[in-house]
Amino acid sequence: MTAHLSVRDLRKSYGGMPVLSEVGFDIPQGEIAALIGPNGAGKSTLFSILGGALSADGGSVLLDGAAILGLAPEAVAKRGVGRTFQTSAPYRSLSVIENLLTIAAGGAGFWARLARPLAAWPRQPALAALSEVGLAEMADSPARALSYGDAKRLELAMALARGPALLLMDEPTAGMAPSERAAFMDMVRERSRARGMTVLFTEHDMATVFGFATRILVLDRGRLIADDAPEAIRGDALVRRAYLGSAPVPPTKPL
Amino acid sequence: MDFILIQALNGLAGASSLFLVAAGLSLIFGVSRVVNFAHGTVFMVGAYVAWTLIDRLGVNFWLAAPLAACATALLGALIEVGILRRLYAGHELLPLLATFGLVLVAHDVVPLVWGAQDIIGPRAPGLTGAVEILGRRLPSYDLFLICLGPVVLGAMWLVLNRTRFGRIVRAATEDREMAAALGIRQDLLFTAVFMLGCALAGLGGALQLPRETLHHSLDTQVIVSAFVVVVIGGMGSLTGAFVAAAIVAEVSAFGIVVWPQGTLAMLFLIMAAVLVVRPHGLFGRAAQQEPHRPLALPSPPAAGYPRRAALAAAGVAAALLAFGFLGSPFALDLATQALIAVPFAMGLHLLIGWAGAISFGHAAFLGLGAYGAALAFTAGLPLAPAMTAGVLLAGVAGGAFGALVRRMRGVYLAMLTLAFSQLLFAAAFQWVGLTGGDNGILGLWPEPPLDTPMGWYLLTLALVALWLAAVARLYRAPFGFILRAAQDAEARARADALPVDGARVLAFAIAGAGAGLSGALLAFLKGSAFPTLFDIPQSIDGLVMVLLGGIGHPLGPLAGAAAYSLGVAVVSTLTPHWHMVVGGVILLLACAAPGGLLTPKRAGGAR
Repeated sequence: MTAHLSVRDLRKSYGGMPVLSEVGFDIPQGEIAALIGPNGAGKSTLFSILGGALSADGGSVLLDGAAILGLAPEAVAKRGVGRTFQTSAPYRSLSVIENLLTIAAGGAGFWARLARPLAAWPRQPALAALSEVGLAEMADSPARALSYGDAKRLELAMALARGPALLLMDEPTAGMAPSERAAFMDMVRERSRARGMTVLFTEHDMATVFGFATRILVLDRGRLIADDAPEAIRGDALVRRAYLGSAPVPPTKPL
Repeated sequence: MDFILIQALNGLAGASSLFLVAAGLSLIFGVSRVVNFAHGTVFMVGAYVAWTLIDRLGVNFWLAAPLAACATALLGALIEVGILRRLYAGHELLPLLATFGLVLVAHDVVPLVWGAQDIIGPRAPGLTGAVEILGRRLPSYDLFLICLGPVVLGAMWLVLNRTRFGRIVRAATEDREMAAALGIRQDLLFTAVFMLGCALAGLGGALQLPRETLHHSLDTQVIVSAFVVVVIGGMGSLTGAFVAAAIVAEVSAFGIVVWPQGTLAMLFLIMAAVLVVRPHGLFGRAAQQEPHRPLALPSPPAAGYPRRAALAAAGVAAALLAFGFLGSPFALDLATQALIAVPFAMGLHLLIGWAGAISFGHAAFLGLGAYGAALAFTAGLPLAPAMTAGVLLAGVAGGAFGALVRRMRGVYLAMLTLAFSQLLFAAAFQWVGLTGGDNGILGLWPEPPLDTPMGWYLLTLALVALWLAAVARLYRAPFGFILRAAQDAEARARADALPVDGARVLAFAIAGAGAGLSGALLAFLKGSAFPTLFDIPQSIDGLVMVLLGGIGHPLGPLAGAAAYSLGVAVVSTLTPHWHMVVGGVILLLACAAPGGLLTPKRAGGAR
């Protein structure tokens, strides 16, 4: 398989303090990769750079062979990257379905964006996307009234709305109950399998990481110290010392 | 050479009291995020109190100055506890509205108490002489002021860095929520800081007495310079305020010699240049972001507006139309002015409420619309193309300005808009060949049948109604939703490939065109266009309309424009002290109905 996302020699420092040094990895299409590491390892910085919100000091990021490093977040999104944020942030003043309709309408032509009422946009695709994450019944509720877990699921639907080839999720299940976590990640995995979507996510919950990732990248103090299958990571002494510690690591779920 | 030195020292002497005012303003903003529009008024009151103490009660100047500072500190406590404290939970601009109400009240009260005549201040005992420097004489009091500035800076540095109070102030400036979470009593802190800021302003006013003539419109002059100082130096930075006060005072000192009329424009040009290079001022830091407060305008009903709403709108339109045939010329003139205010206020609301871009300089586009139409008309164009030219000029200028500032937010953006409008104000004054300067452009009378109050009222009504319909459509289209989405969660919106910047630039263009329409209509109503159309009071009127009407409601600016322009018109025919009445009403409304006249009904959910 060809490398779908290819990161080479990525570097970033804040005021002389290196936060990412020579980070490089390849993720083939359709793979679900987890990025783990202790707090301050550079995970969020790496995500911000991949999403275009932050500039890097050097290196390259290729998506399907095309360079996306240095593009604005809007341009990165248009190249087929969807993302969810650490603190989930749907558009709170809009209704649930308007969150999705706005994204659909945002890609329309200039005059359509100005003249055609949002209420006249086709509801069916938006409703279908909502039922995929189990929110169809909430379609006309205000988004600010959603519970924490529902807001996360709405945000997933939003990130998936444009049919991304690569989905970036920053701590997608933080703050969820364990049962919710598995259901949430199941939705992601289903979508990944159906469309061949590549997923890269950061996560602190090891049950989620080892339960869903087919690949694990370990970042420590800005360096990639491991990049392997879950089974191999589990036994890696370096990773244990840097992050996992001596706690028992949960078993890998059979896929 | 010696002249330059003396003039430079003269400027430095002026810098000291400017620094005192600006330091207070900056301190207050840093901790409580209040943009205290009344800070110049406090300065002025400090000067008047000191003068009363010296002239009427025979108190020594050196005792009167600190006493005046104490008096303004008490005034500050009264303002903070009595008014501002009720407003912190509301929109960040609410304190600005309330303190503007105070400025209006003081505008009438100060002359009533202290008289309207200019007062030549007493000289400072012991420092009445002059020292000779390079053969020229410099008042020894100026020398004292030059030394005082660094002394005050040093004292404040000690207070902020070596006392518990100072540590709390710095912590709260850095992170208000965290400071509150650590058990710091916010209410006491805010009051204390506001009192300190007002004491500094009052002291600045008192100390300026021996140098400057005291008059009751000193407040606006001082507040504008203080704003410029704080923005150049960086909000919340004392060192910044000190350096910027020196820059501003020097530019003023030399500007007054070289190019007196252009001094103010020069200051704003410097401010704009600083902001372009350093968006947070010379010493400000990016970390001192304003708290983001999503405004969350409600969505229009998905199923369209209920029949009742359509009927009500039709009823209002019919009544306004009938009024055009029935009203007296005087009433029609008032009504026309109120209608003209609507696109102006709606444009500003589009920027503040929908796009989250605070503007203190919306008058720029009002003036461009008026001058564009007026110049086209005097060049021989018929009325309709002339007005179109005005609207287009304002719209294109709005779009161009919006493209320049599309990434800027908060008070710094507000100050850039202010600078933009002030530069145009200066241009309208100075470019006599094109604009007629101070004399304005006269003789803008439309042809019959539009030359009567009825004719112009009906045309205004039709154009404003068309504008409203167009804008209402925009709000229901994705454009309005994209603006709101970007306010709710900007990073999310960009990651969803929403054209956030494009929508903001367009919002500036539309807001500019709306104000331009108002300006063009106003020019032909008055038959003239004057530079004052670009001036700060016009921008403030717009802000008051938007805040008064209700920022969270799509129809808020409509209500605000009508209520404010009719209210001012009516009250000003009843009493010469209308500023006081209007200011009082603004204060009352800000406290009693902080959401404005119209607030949205919300179903479910917090906030």
